[in-house]
Amino acid sequence: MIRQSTVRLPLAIIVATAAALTSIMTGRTEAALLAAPWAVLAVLGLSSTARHRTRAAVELVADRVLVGDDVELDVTIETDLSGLIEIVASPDPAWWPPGERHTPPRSRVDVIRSGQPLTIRGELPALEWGSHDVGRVEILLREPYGLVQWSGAASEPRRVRVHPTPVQLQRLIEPWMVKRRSGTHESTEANRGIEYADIRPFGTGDGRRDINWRVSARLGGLWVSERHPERATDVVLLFDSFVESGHDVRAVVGLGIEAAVGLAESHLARTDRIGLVELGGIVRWVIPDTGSHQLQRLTDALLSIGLFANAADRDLSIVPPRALPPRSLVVALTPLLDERFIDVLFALQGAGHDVAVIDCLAGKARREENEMTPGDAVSPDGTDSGGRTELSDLAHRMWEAERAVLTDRLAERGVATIGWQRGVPLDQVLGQLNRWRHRARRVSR
Amino acid sequence: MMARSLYLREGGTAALVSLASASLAVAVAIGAAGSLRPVVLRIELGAVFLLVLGIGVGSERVIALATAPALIGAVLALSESDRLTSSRAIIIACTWYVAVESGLASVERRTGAERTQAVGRQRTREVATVAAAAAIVGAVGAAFSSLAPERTVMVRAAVVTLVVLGLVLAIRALTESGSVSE
Repeated sequence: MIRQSTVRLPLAIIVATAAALTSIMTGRTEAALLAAPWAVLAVLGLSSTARHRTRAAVELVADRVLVGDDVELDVTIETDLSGLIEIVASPDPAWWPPGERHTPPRSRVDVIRSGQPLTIRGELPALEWGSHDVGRVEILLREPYGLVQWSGAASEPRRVRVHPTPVQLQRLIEPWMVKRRSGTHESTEANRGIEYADIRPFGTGDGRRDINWRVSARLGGLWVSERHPERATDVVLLFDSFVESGHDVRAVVGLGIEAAVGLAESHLARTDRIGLVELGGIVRWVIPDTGSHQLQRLTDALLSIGLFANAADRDLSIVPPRALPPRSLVVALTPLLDERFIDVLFALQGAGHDVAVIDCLAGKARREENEMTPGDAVSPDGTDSGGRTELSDLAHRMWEAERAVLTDRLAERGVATIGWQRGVPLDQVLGQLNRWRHRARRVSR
Repeated sequence: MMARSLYLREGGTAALVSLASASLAVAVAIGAAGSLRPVVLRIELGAVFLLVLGIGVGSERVIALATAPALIGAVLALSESDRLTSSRAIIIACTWYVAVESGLASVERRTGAERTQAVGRQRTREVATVAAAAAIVGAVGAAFSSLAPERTVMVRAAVVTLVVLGLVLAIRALTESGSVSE
């Protein structure tokens, strides 16, 4: 710890010395009396100048919080000195850039006695989702009478996982194919279930409870009702983390992660098995499973997603078959920029998976396009007020046309692509996706 | 009818205590000034202005700096006074000390730190201890000087020794080191 004097120490020393010298030179006692409090302060404040040892331990109260909650830290301090102790969390700048839209965390001050451990709880608002290093806790120990203070820091790497705010989804992507497990998705096959499917004549093996007595009375003979059973499905979130997504991680990848967490929570609540495959600079996967532990595994994997440049060919050959069960619903969260990822989408569709794409770049691209309105002035050299040239505008339109062609190619294969932008409810996007898929299925029949 | 209440911002109470205490010190000094009252008045008002400025802008150094004109004015005032000089000196010293400490506390409270009630009690106890000890030491010193009005070389030497000792203590305090471990 570093020892520092406060403003009181030079003040007390200067006043006491000046008054004493004035008193000696003038021969009047009053000058010395005027400095009496400062002299007393100096004597009392400097009486505890022994070396000391201070121990500080930092514990996270919870290592998982939601965005907007407070990360709570318990700082336990034990010291040989008595005085005032002040702690303030100093978060990692990468997570908590100083200035801008947030105020620094508040410090806490308490009284500490020699040899008695003191625990102070500090709070740090969790502003951004992700896996973050909590940073350091700065400690300021002020000796009695406030002439001298000691400053130090307790820094031990502690990570906190800040989960995105859960998205409450009212609807999900309805799968085309389901597994032979009970769930909540309506199966197309006719069997025992709740939703009415059809009627047929009574046959061997049919139970008495399946007989539709009203139809039997009208048509004569025995008729039974067939129903659609409710089944579960396997959902695999295919996450595009190729570096072509750009450096604006919060805008593109962040949108994908928020969608992935929302979809994972909602599918798990409906007893579906859900897994994750991250395809990018690093290929990682979480094998589909059910339950709250799976949600934790998925969230951890999503929060650790990073963008890494990699020029190597990437495909799903290294992903074990268990991570991509056959005939599963694959929901791709991608900006549709990297050819390798797009090839994988076609490959998955070809392999018999039910593929749907949520385009996380669509909104961003559209916003950029809207920045140039028809009324914008264009200078003679072809540059508008925003600095865009006609050439760059043409290039942008070409790029948009290419993306439209890609979307059409995917649609021809039965892969629905829906753009999602921040501010639009994910429910709305999923509704559009379901409508498109429903139409496409009717046409294909 | 909507009830209206007066709320002081954080550190407001300490600032008011500081101003009240400084006003008392200045009043006592001006009261003792005699023929030098106009000069002392200007100097003391300058000290109060610095104190208020320091509290206003949140500068501890400006608050500390205000002590210089306050004590110079008091020395001038007491040099003109011919009675109760010791008791007036003690009152001025203690009240001005309280004013400075309250001003510093006001600035410290405005940093936004969350303080427990024990912190406030501890600081009040410290200031009260210093003021009480200064009053006692001052009273004893005044009594001693009245018993032995002629200062000898030995007394002056003792004072100089105490001053040097204080400086050594201060330097030692600044060169000490501590350790923190996790």
